[in-house]
Amino acid sequence: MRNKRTMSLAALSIGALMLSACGSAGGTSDSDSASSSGSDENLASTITMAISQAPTAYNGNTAATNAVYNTYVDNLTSSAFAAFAASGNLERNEDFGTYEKTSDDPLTVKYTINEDAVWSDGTPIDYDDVLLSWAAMSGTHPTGETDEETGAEADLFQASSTNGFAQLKMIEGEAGDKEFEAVFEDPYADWEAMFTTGLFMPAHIAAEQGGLSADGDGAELIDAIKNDDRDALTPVAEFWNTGWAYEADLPSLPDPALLPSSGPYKLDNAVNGTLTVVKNDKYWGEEREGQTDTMVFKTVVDEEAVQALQNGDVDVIDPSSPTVDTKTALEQIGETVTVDTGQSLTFSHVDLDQRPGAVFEDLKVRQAFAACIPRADMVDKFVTPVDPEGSVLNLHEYQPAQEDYQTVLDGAPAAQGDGVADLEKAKSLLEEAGKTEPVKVSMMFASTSQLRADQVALVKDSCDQAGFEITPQPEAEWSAKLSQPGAWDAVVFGWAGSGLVASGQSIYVTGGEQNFGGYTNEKVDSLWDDIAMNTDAEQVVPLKSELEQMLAETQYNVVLYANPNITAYSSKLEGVEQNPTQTGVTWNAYSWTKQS
Amino acid sequence: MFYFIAKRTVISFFIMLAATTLMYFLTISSGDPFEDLGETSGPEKAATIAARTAAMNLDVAPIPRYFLWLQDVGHCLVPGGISCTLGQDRTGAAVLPQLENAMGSTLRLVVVATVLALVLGVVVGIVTAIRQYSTFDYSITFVSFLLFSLPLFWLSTLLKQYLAIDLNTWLDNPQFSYLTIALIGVVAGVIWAVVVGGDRRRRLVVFAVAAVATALGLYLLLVTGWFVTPGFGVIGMLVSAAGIAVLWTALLAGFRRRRVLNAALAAAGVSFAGYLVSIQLLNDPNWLVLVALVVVLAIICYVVAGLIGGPFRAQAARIGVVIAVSMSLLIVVDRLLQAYPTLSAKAGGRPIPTTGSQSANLEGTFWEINLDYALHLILPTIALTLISFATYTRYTRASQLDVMNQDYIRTARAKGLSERTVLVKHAFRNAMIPITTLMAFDFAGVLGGAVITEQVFGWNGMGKLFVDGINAVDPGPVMAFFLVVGTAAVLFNMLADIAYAFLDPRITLS
Amino acid sequence: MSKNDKQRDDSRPSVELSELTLLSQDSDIAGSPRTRDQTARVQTEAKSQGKLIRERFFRHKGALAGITLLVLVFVLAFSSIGFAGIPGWWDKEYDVLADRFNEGRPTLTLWPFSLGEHPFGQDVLGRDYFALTMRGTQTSLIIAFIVGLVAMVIGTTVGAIAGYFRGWTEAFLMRITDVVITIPTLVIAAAVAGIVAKAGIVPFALFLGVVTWTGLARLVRGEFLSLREKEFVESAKSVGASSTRIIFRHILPNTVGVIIVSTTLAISGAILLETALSYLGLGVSAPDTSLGKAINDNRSALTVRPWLFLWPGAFIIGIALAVNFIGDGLRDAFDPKQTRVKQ
Repeated sequence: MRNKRTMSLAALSIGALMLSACGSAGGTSDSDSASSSGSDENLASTITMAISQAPTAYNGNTAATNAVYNTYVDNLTSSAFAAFAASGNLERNEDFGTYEKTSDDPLTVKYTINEDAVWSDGTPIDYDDVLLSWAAMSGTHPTGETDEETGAEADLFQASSTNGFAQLKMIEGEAGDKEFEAVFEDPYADWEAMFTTGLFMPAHIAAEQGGLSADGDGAELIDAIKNDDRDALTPVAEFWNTGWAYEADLPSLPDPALLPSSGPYKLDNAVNGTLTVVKNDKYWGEEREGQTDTMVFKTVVDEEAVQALQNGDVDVIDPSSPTVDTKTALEQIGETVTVDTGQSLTFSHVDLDQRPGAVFEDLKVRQAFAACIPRADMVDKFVTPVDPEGSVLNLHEYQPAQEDYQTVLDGAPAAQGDGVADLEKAKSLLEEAGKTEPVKVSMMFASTSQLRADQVALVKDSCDQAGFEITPQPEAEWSAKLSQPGAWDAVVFGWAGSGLVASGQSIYVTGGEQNFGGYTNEKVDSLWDDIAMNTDAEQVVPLKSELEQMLAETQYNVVLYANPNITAYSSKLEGVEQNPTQTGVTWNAYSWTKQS
Repeated sequence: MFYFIAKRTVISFFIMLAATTLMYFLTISSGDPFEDLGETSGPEKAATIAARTAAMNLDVAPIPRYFLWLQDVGHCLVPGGISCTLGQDRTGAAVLPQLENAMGSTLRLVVVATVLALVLGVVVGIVTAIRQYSTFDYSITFVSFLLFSLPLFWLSTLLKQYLAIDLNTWLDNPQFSYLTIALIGVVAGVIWAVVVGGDRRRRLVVFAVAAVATALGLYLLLVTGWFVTPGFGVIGMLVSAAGIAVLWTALLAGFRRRRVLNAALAAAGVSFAGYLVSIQLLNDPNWLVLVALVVVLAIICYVVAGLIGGPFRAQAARIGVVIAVSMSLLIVVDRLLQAYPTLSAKAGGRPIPTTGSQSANLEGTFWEINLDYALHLILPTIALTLISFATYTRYTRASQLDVMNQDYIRTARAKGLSERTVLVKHAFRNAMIPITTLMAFDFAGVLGGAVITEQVFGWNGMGKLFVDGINAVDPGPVMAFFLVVGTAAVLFNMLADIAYAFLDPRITLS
Repeated sequence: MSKNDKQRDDSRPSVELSELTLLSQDSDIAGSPRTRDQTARVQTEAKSQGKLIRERFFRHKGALAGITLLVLVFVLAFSSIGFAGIPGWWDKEYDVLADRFNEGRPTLTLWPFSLGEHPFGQDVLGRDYFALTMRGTQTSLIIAFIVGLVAMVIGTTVGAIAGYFRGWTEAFLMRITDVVITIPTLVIAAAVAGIVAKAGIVPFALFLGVVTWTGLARLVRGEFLSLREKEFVESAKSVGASSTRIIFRHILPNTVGVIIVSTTLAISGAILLETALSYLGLGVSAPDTSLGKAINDNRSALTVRPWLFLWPGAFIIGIALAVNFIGDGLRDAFDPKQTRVKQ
C-alpha cells in the first residue's frame, strides 16, 4: 500500500497527542457567571414570543382579521371589561372598569369605565368608543347591496360576527360619558363575553380618518351614529374595515399615531414579520401593568418553533398541533426549557352524513360506527404522550379543560363511556340494522395532515373488523367539500371550542350552517333556543346536560378527544401560564418576567 | 450589437407574456379560492366571500380576468399615469409593496449564495480539472454528486440542528480538548495532502506541515480567546497584506518581473497604511463613506503601483487596484468580526439565529447591523450554496478539461509559456464561456430553491409570497413572484449571450 | 430545478464552433459515435462501437457503483413488500397497524447482522417503517422514472423536429420551450401539483414530466442542428432517404448519448422535486406515501426518533446519487473527449 507509511505516521502522531489529550484549550473565563447569579432585579428588558403567522391588523373584529394571531397581540395592547383566564372562564378586568347586571327582562347591564382609562395618546376611553363598537358590530348599517348567492345584505362595517350586538339596542349616552347601560331586545346567553379584550377601537382615530372632528370627546361621530348619517359614516366604516390593517407579512407598521393602545403595552414597530410592543406609559392600571419593557412577536412556523426556542431565537412557543415528537424534542433540550402541557378547547371529531339515503341515516349504523372507533386508543397514541392528563372526550359543548365538564357529563349518562372500541357491539348493531354486506364508508380528511390520516388509519383498522369497509378520502379542499352533500360519508376534523354558551348553535340545529351531516332533531332545536336566550349562568349546566344527553342518544357524531396543548418557554421566564381558550398563551403576558 | 439586444428584448417580451399567461391560468385552476372558508359561518363568511370576490375579480370570467391583471402590470410599464400596484391580493391589498418588501431579503440571499457558489465552484472546478483523476478529483466528484442529491429542506433541518444550535452552544464557551485539536489538525493535513498531491514524499511533507500548522493555529486561536473576541489585529492585517500581494502577483503576473512584485508589495503597504488610518474613520460609517474610502484607496494604489511598476506600468497598476480591493474586503471583514462580541451579547449569547432575516429592535453601529444581517444569512446561504456549488464545480471542471485539450493550449505550451500563463490567460478565460450560461440558469434555479429555503428559515421573502399565494389560489402574489423570476431568467439569458460575445471574440452578435 | 439546465446550451451561437472543434478531434479517435455512418468501414465497427461504450462505462467505477446501488434499491423496494398484488418476501405491510415494540426503535443490527422484527423501527401507529420506506421508495422511483421517460419522449420529439426541420417549425417549438423554461421547475410543478396531486401517482408523475422536458429539448435540438449538416446526412439525402428514415436511422442514434445523460439528470431531479413538493404540502397524500412525504412528516422527529427522518432521507440520497453517477459514467462513455484527457 502506497499510503501505508503515511497512515502509520498519522497513527503515531495521533497516539502521541492522545497522551496529552486530557486537557483542553480555550473556553471563556468564569467571571461572567457571577453576574448571572444576581438577584431578582436583574431582569431582561425583552421577551420574544413565537407566533405562527404575522398579525394582520390592529382591528381584529372584522371578518378578514378575526384570527388568533391578532388576539395574541390584542391581549397586550387592548383591554376591556373581561377576558378569558387560564381556567377557560371569563374573568373581570377591574383595571378597565366594572359591570353588573341590573335587570333580566329586558336584559340590562350597567358598565362603568375606569375614570383614569385613556388611550396611549392621552384621549380618554369613553362613550364614543363604546358607541362605535356597537355601530360596527351590530349589523345595523346595511348598504343596500345584496349578495347574489346568499341574499344577505352587506353592512357598512364588515364585522366578523354580530352575535349579541344584533340583540343589543343602541347604547344611549352623551359624549365623554364613562358609564353606560346595555339593554338587550332579546336575551343573549353570552352577554358577558361581548365587551372583552380587543373589542374597543379608538373612535377618535376612526373619526379623524373618516373626515370627522374628534373634538368634544367625539361628538361629531356620536351624532352621525345616533342620526344614522350614512354619508358621514361611510368613510369611518371604511377606515374601521381596512384602515387598521397591516401590510401582508408585516414588513412595517402603519403610523403608530393611528394605533393608540388601551392595554398595558402599545405597538412600537414591525420589521419583516416581527412585531414589537413596548410598555404603555399612559397605562393607568396596577393589576395588569406590564412587567417587562419590551415584548417581541416573532413569526415562526410551528414546525420550526422547537429549534427556534432551543437556539434562543424566541423565549416562548405555543405550537398549535403538538405531537409526541414535539414534546420529547422539547424535553430533550434539558433544563433550559420548561414545558407545560394541558388540554385545549380544540377537539377532534368525526361527522357523519345522515341525510336521507346516506350511509349513516340509520341510528343503529351511527351507533355501530361510534362503537368501533377506537377512541381510547387514539388518546393513547396522540394525547397522553403529550399530556398525561388527557382523556377521551364524551361531550360536544364542553371540554375536559373546563370546570363544568364533569358536572355536565354526570347529567348526561348516555354520553358517558371509556371510548374503548367494542367490536362485538358494533357487529350486533349492524346486524340489527339489517346490514349483511360490509357498510362502505368514504372517510374524508385534510390531505396535508398526517395526524388526520393516522386517525383514519386507526378507524379503518378497527371498524373494518366490525363490518364496515372504510376508504380513506384525502382531500386538499376538504373544507370546501364539507358543505357539499354526498361528497363524503364521514369526515374527521376539528372544532375550536370558544368557552361561550351559545356559539355552537349552528352546528347542531336543523339546517344550521355548520351542521354538515344534515342532523335534525326537534328536541335539540328547542333546547338550543332555550340555551341561547338564557342569561343565567346557573341554568346553563342543566340545559346543556339535557342537550348532551340528546346528542348522545341520537348519535349526532363521534367526538374523539380534546387536542393536547403544549407551551414551552425558556426557564428564565416566570409567569407563563397556559390558556386553553383561543385567547392564547399571551393572556397574562403583561405579568411575564425574564431573568437576564 | 444594438440590433441584437433590441431583437432579443422584443422576443423576450413576448416569451414573458406567454409565460405569464401559462402561469396565470395554472394558478387560478390549482384550487378553490374560498377553500379556507368551508368551516366558517354567518356574516363573516358572506362578507369575506364578497370582499375576496371584489379583490380578485372573481366575478369576471378567467380570460378577461387575466387581461385585467395584465392591465395592472401595464400601469407599471407606463411612466406616470395611473398608479402601479401589480394588482391586488385576496385581501384587497396592493401587491407591489409586498413584492418590494419581499425582494429585499430574497435578493440578498440569492445574490450572496450565487456569488459564493460561483467563486468556490469555479476555483474548485479548476483545481479538479488540473488534478484530473487524482484522489482530490474523485473526492470532489463524490462530494458534489452527494450535494446534488440532497433534498434542500432535509439538509436545512440538519444544518439548523447541528450547525446553528450546536455551534452556538460551543461559541458560548469555545474550547476543544487537545485530542479534538489534534484530530482537526490531522483531517486538515489529509485534505491538504490530497489537494496538493505529488509523490509520496511531498504528500507527507504537506500533510505534516498542514496538520501541525492547523493544530497550532487552532490552539493559539483558542487560548487567545479569538472565538470570543475575533478579529485580525494589526499584525494579522500586516501579514495578510503581504500574503495578498504575493498571491495576486503569483496569479496575475508571476515572479519573473521583479518590479511588478515590488509594485504589488508597495500597494499592499499603502493599503496597510490605509487600514491604520481607517481605524478611527470606520467606527460607525455608512455605505457611502465606505465605498468612497475604497475608491480612494484603489486610486492611490493604482498610482503608486503604476509608478513603481516602471516598464510594466499597466500590469502593476492593475494588480495594485486588485490588492486595494482585496485589502478593503479584508478590512470590512475585520471590522465585522470586531463587532461580534457586542452583537453576540445583544443576541443573548447565541449569535447564529435559525429563523428570520434580521433582528428586531437592534440598535447598534453600522458594523453590528451588517454583522447581524450576515449571521442571519449564514444558514440559508450555506444550504443554497452547497447545492449550486456542485453544479458550478462539475461544469467548470468539464469546461476547463474541454479547453485544456484544445490545440491552442497545446500550442501555448509548446511555445514555452509558463504553466501559469497557459492556465490563467488562455485556458481559464475560455473555460468561463459556458459558465456564463450556467449562471443564467442557476440564478433562476436558486430563486426557485429560495422558495424552500425561506420557508425553512422563516424569511419573509418572495418564496413565501409565492407559497402563500399558491396555497390561497391567489394569482396576485404568485404572478408578482413570477414576474421577477421570469424576468431574471430572460434577462440573464440575454446577458449570457452578450457575455459569450464579449469573452469569445469569434462570435458576433446579430 | 436547475439540474437539467446545466448542460451546455447548444442553441448558442458558439455551438457550431465547438462542434467543429469537436469534429476535428473525433477524426483522430477510432470509432467515435459521430463517424458511425460515415463510411462502409463503420458498418463492421458498428458493433464494436456499442461495445466500446459499454467498456468505457464499466471502467467508470462511480457509474458501476451507482448502477449496482440503484439495482439493489430497485430489487429491495419491489421484492421486499411486493408490488401490484404480488407479495414480497417481507412479511409486514406498510399500512397495517401493530403494537409498538420498544417504542418503535429500529431492530436492525449490523454486527452480528440481523434485521429483527422492525429493522427501521415503527412509526407512531406501529406501522413497520421498513415496509413504509420501501413503499415510499417504490412511489418515488415510479414518479422519477415516469418523469424521466415523459421528459425524454417529449424533449426528444420537440428537439428532433425543431432541429431537423428548422424554419417556422423550429421557431415555434423553441419559443414554446423558451416559455416553459422561463418558469423555474419547482414553481411550475407547484402550480401543476395543486391540480393533479390528488389524481394519483401516475397522473401526477405524467404532469411533472410534462413540465420538465425543456432542457432536454434544447440539447437534442442542438445535436440535430449540427448533425444534419454532416456529410453522412447529406449522402443519405442524396440517395433519396425519407426524412423519417434520416431522423430515425441516421441522426437519432448519434444523439443517444445526450438523450440518455439528460434523462438520468431529469430522473435525479424528479426525485428531489417530489421531495420539495411534499415539503410544500403539494405532493402525494396519505394513506399513500413517498420518500419526500415520509421525511416531511417526520421533520420534528429529527432529535427524538431520528430513524424516521434519516432512513427515507438516506434512500432519497442513495437513489439520486446513484442516478447521478450513472449519468456521469454514461457521459464519459458516450463522449470520447473525456477519457482522452488523461495525460
